[in-house]
Amino acid sequence: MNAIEVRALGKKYPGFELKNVKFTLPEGCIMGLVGENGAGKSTLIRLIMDAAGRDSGDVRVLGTDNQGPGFVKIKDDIGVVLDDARLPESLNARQLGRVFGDIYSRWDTKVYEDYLKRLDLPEKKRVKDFSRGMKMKLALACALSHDARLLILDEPTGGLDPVVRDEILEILEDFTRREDRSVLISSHIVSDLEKLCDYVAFLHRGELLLFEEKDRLLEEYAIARLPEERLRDLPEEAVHGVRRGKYGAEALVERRRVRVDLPLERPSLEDIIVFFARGEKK
Amino acid sequence: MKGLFRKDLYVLRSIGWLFILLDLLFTLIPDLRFFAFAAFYTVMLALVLMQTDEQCKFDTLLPMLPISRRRVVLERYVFGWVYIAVLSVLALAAQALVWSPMGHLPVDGGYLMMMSLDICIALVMEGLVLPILLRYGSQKGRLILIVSIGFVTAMSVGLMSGGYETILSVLTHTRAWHFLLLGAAVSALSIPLSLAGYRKRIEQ
Repeated sequence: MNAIEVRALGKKYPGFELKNVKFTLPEGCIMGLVGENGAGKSTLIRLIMDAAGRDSGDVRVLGTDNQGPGFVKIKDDIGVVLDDARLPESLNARQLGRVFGDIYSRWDTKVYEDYLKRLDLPEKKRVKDFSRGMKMKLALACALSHDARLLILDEPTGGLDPVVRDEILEILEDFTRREDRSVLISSHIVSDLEKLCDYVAFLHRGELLLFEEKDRLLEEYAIARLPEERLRDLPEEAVHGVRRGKYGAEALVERRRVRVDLPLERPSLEDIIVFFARGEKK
Repeated sequence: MKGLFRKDLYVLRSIGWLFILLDLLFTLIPDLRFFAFAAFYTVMLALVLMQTDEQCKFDTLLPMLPISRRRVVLERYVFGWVYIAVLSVLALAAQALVWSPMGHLPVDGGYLMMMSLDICIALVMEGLVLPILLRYGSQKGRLILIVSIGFVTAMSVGLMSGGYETILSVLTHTRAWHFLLLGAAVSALSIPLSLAGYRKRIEQ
C-alpha cells in the first residue's frame, strides 16, 4: 500500500498557484519535500490533510480518499507536526497529553511521558514559556505517542540549533525502524533531508520539478567542472543546470548522457536542488 | 469532542477565571437585570477561546486532527451551553447562600422568569455570534460583535422608551419555557450555519 498518493493536485490562491502536483510515497519510506519559502510546501501538506480545499486532482492517504467520509478516522493513524508547533499555549505538557489522549484513540500516556523525559521537557511549564526548540520537540512527542503509521512534518527543524535538529532527526530515524511507518517531511535544510530520506521531491514556485529516489538521484546526476568554452561540448539533453564562476563553469549533468572520460564529481543533494532551482542552461 | 472540551476548560482555567468571577459577582446582585451581563460574558468567552486558538495557530492544526468538522463546531456550542447551565446553577446557589441568612431570598417565580430570559438572550447571542466567528475568525467576529452590541443596546433603549408597557404585557404573558424554547430554536438554526461557515473557512 502507498502511504500517500497525489494525482494532478492543483490549488489557486491570489498570486500563487500549486500546479499539477503528482507523486507517490510508498509505505515504509521517508520523503523529503524541499523548496524555498513560499514554494507551496505548507499548502501541499494542508491539501494532503484536507485542511484546505483543492481545485483539482486526487489525494489518497493510507489508502483512503482524503475527502471521503473515512478520512477522519484515518487521521488517527497520522501524526502531524507543523512549523511553530501550533499547540495551545496556555496549557502545560501534562494537560496537553490529556487533551491529545481524548483526541487520539490509541494515545499511549506512558510513551508520551517517556518522550517528555527523553527530550527533557518540563511537564508543568506552560507551552508559551517554551523555547521554539522545546515547542517543536513537544509537538513531535505528541505526534509520536499515538502509534501513528504516517508522520507529516512541516519544517520541523527550521530555525533550530544543530543540537536540537540532530535530536529531532534521531527520533525520526527511530520512528522509521518499523517497516510500516512512513514520513513526509518538508524542509529547506537539504542536508537534514539527505541524512534521512528515501525519496526527494522538489517544489519550486508551486510546481513539482523533481520527484525521485534519493540514491538514484545521487547516482544519476554528476557535476562536471570545466572551462566555460567547453560547456558547448556537453550534449544539451544531458545538462540540467549551469553555474558560471571566475575560474570556469560547473554543470549538473546526467551521467549516462555524457562521455565516460569526462571527469565528474558526485553532487550533494543540495547541489542538485540548487541547479534545478536556478534552471540556467548553457 | 471531549478533547477540545478539555482543552477549552484548561484555557478557561488559566486565562478565563476572571470571566467566571465577574459572572458570579453579577449574579449576586439582587437587581435581576444584572444577570444579563452573564449572557454577554458567555458570548465573550466564546470569542476569547477562539482568539487564544488563533493566537497560537492551533486553529490551523485542528483540521488535521481526527475530529470531524461537525464536532469542532458542536463543541463550541456545547461549551457555551454547559457554561450557561453551570452559571445558572451557581447563580441560584449563590443567591440562596448570600441572601437567605438576611431574610431576603430573591429567588422566586419572577427571578426564574428573568433567568430564563437571560438564558434565552445568551443562547440567541451565542447563536448569532458563533457562525460569524467560525466563518471569519475572531478578529472580524469581534468587530461584528461590537457593532451588534451597540445596535441591540440602541434598539432596547428605543423599545423601552416607546413601548415599555407593550413589552411588559408580552413578558407577563410569556412563560419561562417559551424563552428557553426560543433560545433552543435559535441554537438549532445557528448550528448548520456555523458548520457551513467553518467548512468554507477551512476550504479557502
